Amino acid sequence: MDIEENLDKVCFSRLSPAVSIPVTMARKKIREYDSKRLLKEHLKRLFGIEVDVKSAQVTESTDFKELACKEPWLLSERLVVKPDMLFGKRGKSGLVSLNMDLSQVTNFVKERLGKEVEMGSLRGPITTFIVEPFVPHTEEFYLSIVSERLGNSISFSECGGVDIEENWDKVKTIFVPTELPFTSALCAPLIATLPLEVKDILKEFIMAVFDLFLDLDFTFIEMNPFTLVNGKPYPLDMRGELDDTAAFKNFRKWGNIYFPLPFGRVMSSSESFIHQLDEKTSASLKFTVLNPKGRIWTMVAGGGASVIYADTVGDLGFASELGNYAEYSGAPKEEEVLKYARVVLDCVTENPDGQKRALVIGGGIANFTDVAATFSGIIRALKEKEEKLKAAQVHVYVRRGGPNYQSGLAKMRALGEEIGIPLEVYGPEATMTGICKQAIDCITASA
Amino acid sequence: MAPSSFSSFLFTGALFLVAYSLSKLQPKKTNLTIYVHDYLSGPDASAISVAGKTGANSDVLQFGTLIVVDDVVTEGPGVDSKAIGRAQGMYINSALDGKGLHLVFSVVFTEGEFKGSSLEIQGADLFSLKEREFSVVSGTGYFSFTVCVYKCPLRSEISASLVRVSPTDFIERALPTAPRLINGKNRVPDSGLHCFTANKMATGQLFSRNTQALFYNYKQLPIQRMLDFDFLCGREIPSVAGIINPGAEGFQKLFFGQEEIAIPVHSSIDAACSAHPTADVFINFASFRSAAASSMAALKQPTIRVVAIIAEGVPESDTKQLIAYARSNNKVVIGPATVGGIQAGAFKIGDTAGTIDNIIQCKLFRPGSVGFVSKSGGMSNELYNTIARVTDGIYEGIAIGGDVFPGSTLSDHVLRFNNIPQVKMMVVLGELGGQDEYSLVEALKQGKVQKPVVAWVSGTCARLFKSEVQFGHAGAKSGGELESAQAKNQALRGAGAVVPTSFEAFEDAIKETFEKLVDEGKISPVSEVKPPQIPEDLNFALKSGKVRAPTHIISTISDDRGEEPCYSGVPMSTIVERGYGVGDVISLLWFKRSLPRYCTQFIEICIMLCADHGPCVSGAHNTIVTARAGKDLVSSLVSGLLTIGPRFGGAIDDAARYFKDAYDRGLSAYEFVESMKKKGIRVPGIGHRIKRGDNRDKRVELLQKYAHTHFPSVKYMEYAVQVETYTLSKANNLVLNVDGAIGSLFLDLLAGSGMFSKQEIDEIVEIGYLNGLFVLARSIGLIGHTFDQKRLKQPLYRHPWEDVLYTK
Repeated sequence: MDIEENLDKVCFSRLSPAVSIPVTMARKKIREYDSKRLLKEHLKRLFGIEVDVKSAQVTESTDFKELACKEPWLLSERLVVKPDMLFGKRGKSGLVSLNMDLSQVTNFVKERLGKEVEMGSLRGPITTFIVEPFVPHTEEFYLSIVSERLGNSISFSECGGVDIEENWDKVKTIFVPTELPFTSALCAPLIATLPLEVKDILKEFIMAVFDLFLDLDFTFIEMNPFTLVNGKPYPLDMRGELDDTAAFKNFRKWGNIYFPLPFGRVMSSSESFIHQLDEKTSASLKFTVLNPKGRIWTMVAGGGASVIYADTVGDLGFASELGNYAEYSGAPKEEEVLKYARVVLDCVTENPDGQKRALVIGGGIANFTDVAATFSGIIRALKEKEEKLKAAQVHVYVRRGGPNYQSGLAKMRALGEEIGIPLEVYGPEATMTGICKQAIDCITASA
Repeated sequence: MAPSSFSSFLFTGALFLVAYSLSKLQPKKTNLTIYVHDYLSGPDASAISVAGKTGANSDVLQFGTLIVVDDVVTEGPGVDSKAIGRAQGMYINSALDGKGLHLVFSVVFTEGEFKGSSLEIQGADLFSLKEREFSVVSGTGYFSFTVCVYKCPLRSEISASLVRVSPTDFIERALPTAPRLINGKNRVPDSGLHCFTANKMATGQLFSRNTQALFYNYKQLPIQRMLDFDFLCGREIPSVAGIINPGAEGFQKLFFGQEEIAIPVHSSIDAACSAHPTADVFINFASFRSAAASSMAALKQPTIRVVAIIAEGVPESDTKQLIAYARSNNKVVIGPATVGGIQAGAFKIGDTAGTIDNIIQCKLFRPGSVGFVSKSGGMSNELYNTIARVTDGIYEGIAIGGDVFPGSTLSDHVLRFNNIPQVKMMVVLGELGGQDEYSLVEALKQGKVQKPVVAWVSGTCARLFKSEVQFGHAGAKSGGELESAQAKNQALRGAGAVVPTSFEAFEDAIKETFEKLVDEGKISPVSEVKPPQIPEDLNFALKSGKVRAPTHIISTISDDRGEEPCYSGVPMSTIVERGYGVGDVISLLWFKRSLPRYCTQFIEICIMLCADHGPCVSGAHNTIVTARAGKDLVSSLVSGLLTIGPRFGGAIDDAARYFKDAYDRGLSAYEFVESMKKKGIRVPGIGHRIKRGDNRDKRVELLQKYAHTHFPSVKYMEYAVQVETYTLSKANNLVLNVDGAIGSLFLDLLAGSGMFSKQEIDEIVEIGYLNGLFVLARSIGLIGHTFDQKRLKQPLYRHPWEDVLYTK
């Protein structure tokens, strides 16, 4: 395990943007290319510090000739190429190539572009590379800044590089409380043991990077390693995370930033349909298939509640049967709910196998969402999919409360009778997750 | 404040003590909050003035006045909460300027844990300060050898901002401030006592039945819901003291039960805070862009103690600034990204707890015994319901919000609940991610929480999602796995919290814990009250078909309710796509139908022809004079329009009316003109100041030419020409003018298009449509004249004396 994952702490949201779990997803990883771009551009703007880092991004659409015109150093220097896909362990996975010329780089990229690789349990194609001058070096420093609730912690080590973990005892960490300025005195413990001739340079660099971190709303920066080239700090590898909720004040400073999906997040067509639906509306519509052959499916209103429904199926021992995670909230329009529910129902009813399935249409007690209104979209979808629901032997379990829930539940009950599918309906008098148990009973009875 | 008003408020002191009793020189620390209710007047007066410069009735604000007190001391902030003793002693106005008291009294405990013991309290009471410190100089019984200091946010003034006057003389304004632990000083240097340090957050009640809030960014519904809750709880004063709506001032009407009240609206946080010094909660409904700045401004107000931020998406670095400021200033931030919180029967933030039905269902209109805190605002409502089902209900519930760094944490609130005597057990609903639950684990392990905690951390399903486990929980050093729901539930269980095996079992765990407390006699039954009925809102009742109400306005020409505005049923997109012109829009909005293109083009021609007629005509002249007087566009325009009438521009309607009448009655031109002459009416539409029979008005010719080419029939116009022929025989300037031409041709348009019934045509002529055409057209010119004068920077116009005949 390498340092990148080591420091990847703090919160689930940041760890799991791959999953549509409704935790605020403010922290977004950015590519190494962008981290370095921001570092170079803004150290110059803020402090007049020149960082001589040069990077070029290579994707499917890159024309190497054009790129070489724009970045002439590609032709004159020895190069390094590596995937820029938000995952670490690149060196250890044979994905980094050192000391090449441009034609070798071109071949290296061609052989790997679009090819799937496996990193841990994740598979995904490599779509983006970063190419940089090859910098022979001896010193490898480590620097990271992590945003924490009461301040920021800064870690520094003169023994950086791939073996940072083995050298973790040599990493010094200080904490800068939010309300205090980052002074030389605070910085001192980090660099206390450095030789005099580099001490000031590194102090200046650390303090500048810290200010840049604050100025650009970074939540995480890591340079492992960085070195000195001609006496100036030079990041060899860099990772960054930005707080995307601060985009409204930083869009100019960030420039053309792109927040890639986490590596390995490959969406099925139904997932990406709903993802697109979600991006277009002010409401929240989430859908992740966990097991296409699962026999318990959920369609739950509300961020908190949807997690708890999925939890409960798992906690009651039926995680393996859980087909999906699905959440809708933020008062989606009836048409949006309809489109959303159609997709969910298609997945629920796919490949009937003669065994019962259960669909849990759940939710807590809404604060101010009109339950009847959101249900009407679901009801329309259920009507449309009547035949498929019957073919897949789907039993529907409904539980919901909130404004106008009585009429929403009554409509659901009426629907059950109308289209003749087994459908049970509960209001706030029942526990929220009681229907999970019922769903489990339903599918186990048929087993 | 006028001295005379002093007697019209009571003051209640909340004494928050940390007492160190010396027993065998081992300091023993006791946290104690008591509430002293001091009424200087009214039927329940417990303090009387006995001596002073002006005798026994001397004013307390006068130097030398002596007041003797025997105040009730209660366990909770409400005067009706359990009485545990009396505060007996006196206070003397001992400042020459009258602004300070010296206070000496004993708190004699008559009930509860400290029954039979007493505390001696003494010190200067500079009542202009919001919070004062007094010395606890000694004690008896349990408090033998006690020394400490207590801080007392002693009294609050009746705010002048309260618009609704309470029927009672005395509005209890018991401190909205919660008692707080203070940074006490060691008064006995050699006693070996520790100094105790300031807590970083309020350690007890945040709210009471008298808490008032300032509401930032006017939102009608959440405020109304707060007021409905107030009414349900039987609060006497509304929980929203004022509204801050940047850029707006005045009052906002809202319901308080059945009656309407006006809540003051302020344009700045400063203004609102100084107008409502007792409002100490700031409910921030600003957008995520401005929430941080307005919240910081509010935190910096000395009167504000609690800030609740509703917005989702406040930048992390901004929230961190708020957290740091709140910590060092002993203030509380709830949120961002939260629905807020509620103290049952006392105070509710914004939309918390949903509908009135739900509030009644969950018994939130009266306090229960359970303190609840969760991350998710949506789930808090569910849990209020659950808790009401299996316990005596919520005492206080807080949703801390879903952000990575919430302003206050789960453990902050649990520790606070631990200090609130009425809270007997806590329910915590956590979430995967973050480390907050571990500070609760620590607090439990260290024995800081003495009341039972039932907890569940949601998100156990995260491990089903393959991808993030890899990305998420790799680090041993930083505890990735620690942040999983499973690990947190395990840790909480290990630290002594009651943690079920699944959310489904959460309810039973809460139930068992509660019942155990009941069995142990730690919870006395709540006396149930029936909340008053809240009148249903008309909108809601209408929607549900329960009532009907007449409308006050009827409109048939346009509808802005759908996806896009419609003019007479024609959507805006059609109008644009089909290349409609102004004439078509007029035909839709005025005539409520799509007239053929030749008609609408004719309308456009009329507008173009009448748009202006030079600077000298009355309308333009007036507009020019007004514009030169420095007036704005609208004033200049209407001053010109106001000249339009029987003598200026108003002849089109009349021309149409008379021509139509004469034609329809079959009068010859001769008969018509002569009959008009007999009545002494000049024929409208005939005659021009300049134009002559041999020098026709070009505009008339254009209109006639267009009509001849496009109109199926021009009978009215031909009739008008006959009239003209006759009048020209009388005088050379009696030509058909532009008014007459438009008037007669419009009759042809209406009759010839075949789209109007006879009644409709009569009505159109009768109610002045054609005049409307002139008004519309000439507005173009008048606006042009206004801009022209302004562009030319023309000075004030003054008519020259020489041009006036001064005469008697």
